[in-house]
Amino acid sequence: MKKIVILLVLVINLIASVTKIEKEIYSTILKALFPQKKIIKIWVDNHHKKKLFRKINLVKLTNNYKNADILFVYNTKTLKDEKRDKAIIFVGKYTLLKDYQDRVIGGFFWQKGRPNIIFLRKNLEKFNITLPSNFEKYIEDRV
Amino acid sequence: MKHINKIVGILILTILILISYLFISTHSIEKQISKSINDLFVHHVKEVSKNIEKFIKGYFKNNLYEKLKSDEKLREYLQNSLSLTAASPHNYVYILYRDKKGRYRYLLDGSNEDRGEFDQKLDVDQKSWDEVYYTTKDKVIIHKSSEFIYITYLRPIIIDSKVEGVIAVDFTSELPATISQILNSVKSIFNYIFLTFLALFLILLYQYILYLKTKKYAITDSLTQVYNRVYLRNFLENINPNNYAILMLDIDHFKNINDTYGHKAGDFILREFANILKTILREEDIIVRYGGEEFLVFLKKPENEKEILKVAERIRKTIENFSYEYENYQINITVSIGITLHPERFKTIKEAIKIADEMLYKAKRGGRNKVVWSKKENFIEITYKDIYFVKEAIDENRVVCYFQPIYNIKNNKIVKYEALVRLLDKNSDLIYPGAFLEKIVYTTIYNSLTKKVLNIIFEKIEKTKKNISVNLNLSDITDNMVFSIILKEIENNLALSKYLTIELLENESLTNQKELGKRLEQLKSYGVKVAIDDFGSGYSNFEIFRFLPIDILKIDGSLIKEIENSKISYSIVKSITLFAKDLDIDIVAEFVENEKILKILENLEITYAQGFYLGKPSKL
Repeated sequence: MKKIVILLVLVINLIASVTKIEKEIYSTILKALFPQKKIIKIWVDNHHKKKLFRKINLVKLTNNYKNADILFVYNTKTLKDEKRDKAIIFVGKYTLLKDYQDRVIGGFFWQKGRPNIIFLRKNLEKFNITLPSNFEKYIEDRV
Repeated sequence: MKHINKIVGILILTILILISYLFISTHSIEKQISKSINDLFVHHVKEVSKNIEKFIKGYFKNNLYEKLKSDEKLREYLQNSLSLTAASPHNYVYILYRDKKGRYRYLLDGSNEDRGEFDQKLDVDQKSWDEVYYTTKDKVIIHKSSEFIYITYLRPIIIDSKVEGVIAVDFTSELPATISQILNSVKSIFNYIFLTFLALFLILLYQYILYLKTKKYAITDSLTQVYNRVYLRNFLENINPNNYAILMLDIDHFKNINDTYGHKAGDFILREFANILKTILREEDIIVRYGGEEFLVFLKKPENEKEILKVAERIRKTIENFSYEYENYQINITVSIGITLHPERFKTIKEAIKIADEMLYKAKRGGRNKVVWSKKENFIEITYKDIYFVKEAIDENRVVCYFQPIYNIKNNKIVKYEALVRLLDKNSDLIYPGAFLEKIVYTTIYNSLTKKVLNIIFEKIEKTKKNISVNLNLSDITDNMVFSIILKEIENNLALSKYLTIELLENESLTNQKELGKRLEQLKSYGVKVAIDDFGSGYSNFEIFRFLPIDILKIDGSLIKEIENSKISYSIVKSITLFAKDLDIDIVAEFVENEKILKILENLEITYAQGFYLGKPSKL
């Protein structure tokens, strides 16, 4: 029972800190992708992540992906839909990034308890996105 | 009691210190345990990573990346082997290499979950990893959250003096958290103990505040908010007489305020009076309400005594100039002040207070609204013993009266007796007034003695139905306290008062003759006769016959003693006799010591005489 309580405490703490880190990372990524925009319209396919994005000041969530500046994708199903080919897509899983590296501009995911960010150079160029110089270490040619 | 409080205080403090020490100790124990566990894990992981390095080096002589890139099966095999070491508490076991851009990528990942792929980038703590890469030394990275410790152990794989990769073992342990949880229970116990102590401390603090309030209440006069006699007792035990001058203050004619405006007005005046004192005096000065309208001030001594007198005068003037408004009445008061400038010159502080009291009496008798201080403090040899000897004698009924007869020299009959007070010491030896009367004259003991003597006289009158005279000072009549005692005694013995004569001695210059005359008239209305004693010497003044209702004139004994040898004395006596006869006042000649004197008195047609030749004082 005690162990369960301890674990629960750890998990709650962890979730709280993870959410905070994710919010900051997404906020930084969005500012880097759209430095000119005061309001960035985003479309998210994950209910839990929507809550997270709502907390970011410059974000406005939209239900219509066509109006969105960027799509945050966590489900394979979303990427299988070819209607969204022309949209700027950023994924939240390594597998999605690897499988759809010809389409997505990058991804953010947790690996070994560490936040990992990868941008794909080719797709950034395709959408004429230039990231700040401090993002260079996250830009990869392939996955 | 004080010692018990100290012991209890020390005991509580010791317990608190010990509990605090134990509480702090639990913290350090927790830290030590955590550190020991971490060290243990780190040591264990170090050994594991050494084995991994040995194991990997067994397969490769050089170029680790290239060989693993080209041999997927070998990668699979090695990862499976690594995964055997990734059992709890080693959550992740993996090997990264540093690419040309300085990014770290997977060579092998033996982790059972969240496994990275070969060549996949992993965002790591660049600085620490680079340090391992360049120093070729092991490194421990500790990531801490509240109770959650996450450690990464890094070990470089060195082949041919070149770092081919870095072994990383990530592990977490629940053990410190468990220990922390157990110790938290212990800490909770301490917290409850602290809370209990805090509650106890608050209760004690409350009690102490209550005690201080009660103490303050006990030592403060509720009406005027200055100190009372309870405080004075304690203060006198610890006072350094060198530090203070003593002022005794008394509001003049206070009784009149009570009688005219009521007691509430009196209380109001006392409050206002005390407030004025507070404003004039400093924090370090002590104000005590000594009696009804009497205040005692211990003035922190300034450098010179003139300053003390200045302060006293300032008090007197302020009170005099202040007009009190009470229910549309304007009440003006004055204050009499007696001062002891040098309390340190007396054997006890009580003696010094007594002198201030005496000076106050002098101020009163000198017409009130005065500041009086003793100019002879160095020479006053009054002792507490003297005063208390008299007090004891009164309390133990050792006050007696001897009676000297006063003769009508025409028919040789006793017409009256003069009562003369004596004290008996414990050996029943007589003590004469000269030994004690002057020393108690301005004290309350004098009042008690007056009361006692009047009691004795009235008892004697009741028994013998003889005329008896008693000696009093004129100032006793002007003094409210003494006069009220006299009046009360006479009123209690109205049927006997016609036998009483009061012989008044002018002991100081008269003030307020009108009031004095009124009071004597009041006494006379009860049948009491009034005599003027020792006329023809000292303060004697023919003018007193203008405003005082005198029945009898007693010629001073020093004149009678010299009457046979001194022409001047004879002339004075003759003049006084003619003057008295003219006013129809009876004359008594004192100190008749021989027959010759008696004959002269007869020739001068003096009717009454007393002296050793006629009769010595004796018991009646």
